[in-house]
Amino acid sequence: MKKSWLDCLKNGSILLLTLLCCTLFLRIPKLWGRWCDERLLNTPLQRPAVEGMLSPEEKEIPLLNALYKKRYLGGNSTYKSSGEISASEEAQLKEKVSEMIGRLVEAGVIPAELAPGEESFAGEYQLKSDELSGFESIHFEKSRIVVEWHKETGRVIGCQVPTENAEALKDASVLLENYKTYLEIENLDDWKQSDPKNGSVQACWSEKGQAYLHCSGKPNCFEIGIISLPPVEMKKLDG
Amino acid sequence: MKFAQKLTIAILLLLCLALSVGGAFSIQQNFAHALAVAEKQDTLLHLRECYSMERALTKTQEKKNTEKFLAAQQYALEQQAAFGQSSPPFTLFSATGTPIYSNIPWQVTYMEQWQTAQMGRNSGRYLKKEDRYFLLLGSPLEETGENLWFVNAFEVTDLFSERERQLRQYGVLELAVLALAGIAAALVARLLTRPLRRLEQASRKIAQGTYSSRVQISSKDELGRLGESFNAMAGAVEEHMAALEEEGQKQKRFVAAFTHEIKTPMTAILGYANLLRSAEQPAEKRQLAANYIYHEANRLEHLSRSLLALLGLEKETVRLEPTALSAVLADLRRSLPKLDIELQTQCEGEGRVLADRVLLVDLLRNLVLNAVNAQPADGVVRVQCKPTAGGWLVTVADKGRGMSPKELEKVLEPFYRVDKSRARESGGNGLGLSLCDRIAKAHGSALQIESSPGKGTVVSVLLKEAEE
Repeated sequence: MKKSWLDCLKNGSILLLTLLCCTLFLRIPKLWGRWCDERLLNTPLQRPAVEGMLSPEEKEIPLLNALYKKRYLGGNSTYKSSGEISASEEAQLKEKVSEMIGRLVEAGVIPAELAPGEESFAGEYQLKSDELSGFESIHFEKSRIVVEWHKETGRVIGCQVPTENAEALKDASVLLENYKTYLEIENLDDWKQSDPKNGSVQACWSEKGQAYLHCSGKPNCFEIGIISLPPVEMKKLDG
Repeated sequence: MKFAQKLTIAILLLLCLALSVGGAFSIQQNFAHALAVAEKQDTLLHLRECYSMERALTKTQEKKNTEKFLAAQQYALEQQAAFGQSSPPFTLFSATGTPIYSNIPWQVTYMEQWQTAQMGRNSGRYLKKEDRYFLLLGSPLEETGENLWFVNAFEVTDLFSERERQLRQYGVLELAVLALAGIAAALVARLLTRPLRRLEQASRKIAQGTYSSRVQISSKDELGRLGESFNAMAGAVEEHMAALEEEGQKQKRFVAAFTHEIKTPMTAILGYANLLRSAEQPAEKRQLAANYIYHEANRLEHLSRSLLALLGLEKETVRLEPTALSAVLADLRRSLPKLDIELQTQCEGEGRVLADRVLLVDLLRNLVLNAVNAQPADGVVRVQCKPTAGGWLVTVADKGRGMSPKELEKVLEPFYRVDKSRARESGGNGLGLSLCDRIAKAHGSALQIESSPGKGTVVSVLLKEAEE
């Protein structure tokens, strides 16, 4: 009888120990989580690297800096149509656009034969303004002229001019060189050129400046412009 | 505790540990991944916020903090209007750490925010405030003309809540799995240990004396082989026990017969000796008594010699040497007393066998004397040696009384005599054939006896041929 009582005690102890072990094991996920949280809360975080940051040297160039930040700051645009601003403001706006295009022609960015006349700026238009990124654009409905510019530097970053003159693109590489000079980014030393035989889009790009210049003669439309591209997109262009 | 129960407990413990560690690792990995994704997104968002704040403060360069406050407030309102609750709260610090504007929850102190800013644009920190978790990222603002610091507080409580939910869910699932696994493990353990229980029952029965108990295990694995080995062992034990029992019975019969053999002559000796000492006896009676005493004493002496020879054969190993059968037959003739019958000996060729010459002669002598006592009808006892495939067959044949099958079964037992009265008259003690059988076994052979009542008896022994 003593032996069976001892056996009962022994078996009970084993069961109790098993239960305790299981309870402890079941707590492992939670305890592990707590331990990881302790480490997380008491250790400085190494911030993940952001790809495509513009280097400090290139940030010194206001236009490149603005184009780079435009990638992050888009989406806060306001729109105004013709008639929503005062006549004097409208006149000033149109004069400004005309001057900007004039400077582009003088700089050899837009071929002289494509330069629009004053009548091209008449009629309905839509003005888009992004205060946060610092860029504005205007679209003339009748003449289909589109101009986008950086407010701070006054430089045009995109221009579309209707044309029936396909010859205008013969010297696209010259136009692009002139455009670099106009934008004051000709000193970037890693410009690469696209193959002139490939299609109607001529382009050149700089990885350092994350700048992509393009010039194309779409049917009935001449277009020239600059955008900021991250390095990963730049590398695809080399391929 | 039963083995099946121990097995179940061990399986449960291992399963519980494996599930817990595996679940902990898996959930934590998922959580770490979610945190990494949030960190990447929030870093990009913080960068955007920095650039936006830089633009918003462009017109407040060289101006008082009040102007900056208003600009920051305006920016915060615009963000709230545009993005609602998802716009991240921020604090704008001056170069000296003075908060200019803040809409970060009050639980996160300015000191903690300022310390985060001071950690630089490549670092950040997590904070826990009551039940809420925040990821703080701070960076210096550029293009503002002053050393302003910008800190965002991204609330990541959802990620931690989700992890807690997963842990709870996993805990419940684990308990359910353990319960089911425990039942399954118990059943499987019981099934697997069933052969062991059968073995235990069979062992217990054998221990209690049921030597015929066997175990039925039909599996082809180690347990099946254990069952087969157990059955083989049980079979050997049963045979051994049967042999021991039979040996015991033999010994009992031997002792009983021996006691009887001793008692009979001793009774006669004591009786006649008592007669002689009790009173003066006539000369004839004295001579008769002396004859009986001498005769019985002689029988006792012969019996003791035979017993000694028998015991000696059981204890010692007999050394066999090449022996010529012709020499054995010659020794046989010389050892025999004058017989009333004709002894014919025949050997086909020059046979040489492996034998102990003296013992072999004793064997043949006993067989011949038995044949003589059987009173062969033709008055001849034949001893033949014939070569066979297995060696040399030596036979002693007579056409005497013969023995029945029932008598043949017992004839090799010690002290057994077919005709007790006649054997006693001739001085026989019933040990002769036992001795012959022992001698034959010592030679690696056995006595073969063929007999029919009234037709005679042939006793054979096969001896190994000696190599040249």
